[in-house]
Amino acid sequence: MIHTERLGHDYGNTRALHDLTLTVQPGEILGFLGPNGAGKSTTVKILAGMVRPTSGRATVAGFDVAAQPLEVKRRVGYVPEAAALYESLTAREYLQLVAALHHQPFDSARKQVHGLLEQLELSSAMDQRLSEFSKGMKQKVLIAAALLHRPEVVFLDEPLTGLDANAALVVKELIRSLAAQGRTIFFCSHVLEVVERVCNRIVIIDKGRVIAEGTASEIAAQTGTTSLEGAFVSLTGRRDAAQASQDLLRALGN
Amino acid sequence: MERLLKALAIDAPQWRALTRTYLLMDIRKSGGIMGRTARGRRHSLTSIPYAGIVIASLLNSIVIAVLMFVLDDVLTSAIVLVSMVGMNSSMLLLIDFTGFVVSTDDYWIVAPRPVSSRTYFAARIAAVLVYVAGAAVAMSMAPSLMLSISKGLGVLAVAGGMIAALVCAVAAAGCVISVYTFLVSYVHPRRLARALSSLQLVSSAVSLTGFYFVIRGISGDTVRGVTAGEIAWIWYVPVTWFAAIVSAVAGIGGIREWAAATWALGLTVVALATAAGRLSLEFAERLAAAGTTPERQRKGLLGRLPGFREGEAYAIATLVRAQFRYDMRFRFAILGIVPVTIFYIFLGMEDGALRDPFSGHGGATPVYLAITFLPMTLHSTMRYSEHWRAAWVFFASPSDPARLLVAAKNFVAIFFLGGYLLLMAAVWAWFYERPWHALVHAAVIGSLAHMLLQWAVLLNPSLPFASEPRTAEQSSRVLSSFFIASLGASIGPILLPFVYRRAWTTIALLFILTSATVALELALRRRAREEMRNVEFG
Repeated sequence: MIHTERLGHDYGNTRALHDLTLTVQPGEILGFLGPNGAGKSTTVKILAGMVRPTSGRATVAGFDVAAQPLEVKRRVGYVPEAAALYESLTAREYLQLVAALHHQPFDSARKQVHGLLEQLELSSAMDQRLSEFSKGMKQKVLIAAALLHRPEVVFLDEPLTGLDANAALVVKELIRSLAAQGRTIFFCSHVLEVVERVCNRIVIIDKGRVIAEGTASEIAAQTGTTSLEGAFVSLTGRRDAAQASQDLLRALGN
Repeated sequence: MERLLKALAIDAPQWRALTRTYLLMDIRKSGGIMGRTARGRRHSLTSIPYAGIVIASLLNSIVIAVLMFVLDDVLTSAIVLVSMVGMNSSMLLLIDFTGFVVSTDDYWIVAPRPVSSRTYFAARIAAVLVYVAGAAVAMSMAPSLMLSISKGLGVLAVAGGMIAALVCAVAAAGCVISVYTFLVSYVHPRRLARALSSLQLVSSAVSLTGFYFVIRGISGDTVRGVTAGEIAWIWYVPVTWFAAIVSAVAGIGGIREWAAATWALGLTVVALATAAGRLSLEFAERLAAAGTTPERQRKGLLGRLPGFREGEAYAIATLVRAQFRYDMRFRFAILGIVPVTIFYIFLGMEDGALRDPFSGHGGATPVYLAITFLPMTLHSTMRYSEHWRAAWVFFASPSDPARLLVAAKNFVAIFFLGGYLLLMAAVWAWFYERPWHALVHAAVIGSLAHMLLQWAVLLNPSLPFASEPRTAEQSSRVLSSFFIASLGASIGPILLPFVYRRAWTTIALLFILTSATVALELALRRRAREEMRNVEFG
């Protein structure tokens, strides 16, 4: 469903992504991890057809992301890390706009939007401006917007941000159900426990390169640690956490 | 329409959905970070953001209509009309390009959807065209009517004037988009915005001076008889091509006018086509990326300002300075007063209005208007910020919102009004030949302006930089400030020469002004405390 070959991207003179080669199968939930600035968002933007790769090749749902970006976008859903929404619109208006951009007939889209907002417990706020929504409510709207057109591939960049425990549980279960339906899930997060619990396979990148790949236990074993967190720190940690916290306290004057 | 869109490879349903959204977003009233407790909740009338721009355009149209009446020649009149409309449209778009034309949010929201760059462009340009067309129609209606009546041309001239204005506004929009998107490839968007605000200052000064000379020419009958069409080079100036549309549509144009009108239409198509090639989702992406790219910083010339070195006052001083550097609306509200003042001083030199009021003369009303208008406008402008969400920090910290409000007023009064008054005192000292007359006069006018500012804050206390700016919303506030300022500026020059006749009346006036200022300040602080008590984050 997702296939990349030596995918690379440069921002000016800075190489953000180096020769990324990976395959994600239908029904698979891939956890895509990395420290800040590792190249995760760049990878997602390339795979979602938003940015052209500088080198290499990628296909999503059978379409080349550089040559057929619109075909790719018709088949993918994307929850961005930043909650970018047109905030002067209401939740209902925003989702109907997204439905229109995906060519969904108005009447069926209206029913679907209503149903989605009801399921996300937003029906009482559906005619409120998004600027009045809390962070969690906005996140629910973003998730609804990504799934509205029943995409084959879903890119989730920190999808649980701002959600309460109940809503987060629902979303995690939803991700599993979507995968069970044969949809491919590309899951980026810094919350390692969630990644460990939800994803079938994990890829860790750093400085634009893949540095580890496998299940959580395989990656832990590769690094001689007992958990994904330990493996992540061992692979990407720049300095000892205890020492770093002591340095911070010293900087605060304690 | 469907067929046309299809022929242009534009996705019609997507275009309709996006255009409707962009128009809706521009029309809607802005939000803000200030909520109110249930007890303090107030319902305000929903403002119509476009109304301010339409009203300002209508006011401009009256001035242009007067010129239409005075000028004898149809082409000359039409050149004046389309020049003003073209300049107005260009400036509206240039000053707030990322508000009117393309938003950095567009990339994050539209780019993941199956929307082609062409469809996105078509939707954005449609929203822009509705906007500039609204302003162009408001600005050209009265002049076109006047052109038709005063020249006895009939209803076709009305249509001709409005079509010419519309086509010129559309071409101007196309040119602005092309030029801006070209320049932003080489210059950081923030630096470009600052350069454009300076350009607008220069163009304001040029247009005001030009207007002045036209008025002078009218009184001397030198402009009335000008027939622009007889000047050979004028036919090489694009504005003439648009003006020729009036004659062509009115049925009084010859081959030359028809050829020029065709050139105008051709230029409009080329401008839009060029803009179409540049305005795209890729451009929105570049703009979004540039927004996160640091601009090369220069070291600030000012250190920590006296009186604003700690607490809420320091926070406000820091914010205002940063806002002046990065917010073009705010920057222009301050710097925009400079060409106006220069023009008023120039006007004052001509008609003797810069004479010493201590010798019984009234003085220049327009200069007083500028002085009183500046602080009130700034106070209104300081409510808004592109970064209004960051105002949560006011609520999350143990800062006193009432003190923040008062500090903002004081900053405007000391550094903007005070600086401006010092400049004016120097000018007056030069003209009055008695520096102390200038100083006393500056103190009196400054007190009056400060009291108007206090009054404005008293009537509408609001946290600085905590409201979301929305297209054209400020215009109606600026117009109401202008009305109050003009009242104050009209009364002063009439009364002051009588007061200045005797030393004791001058001293009494200074005492009254000081007492009134103190009383107003106390009332303002009390009201600020009461109002801010009900304000909450939300």
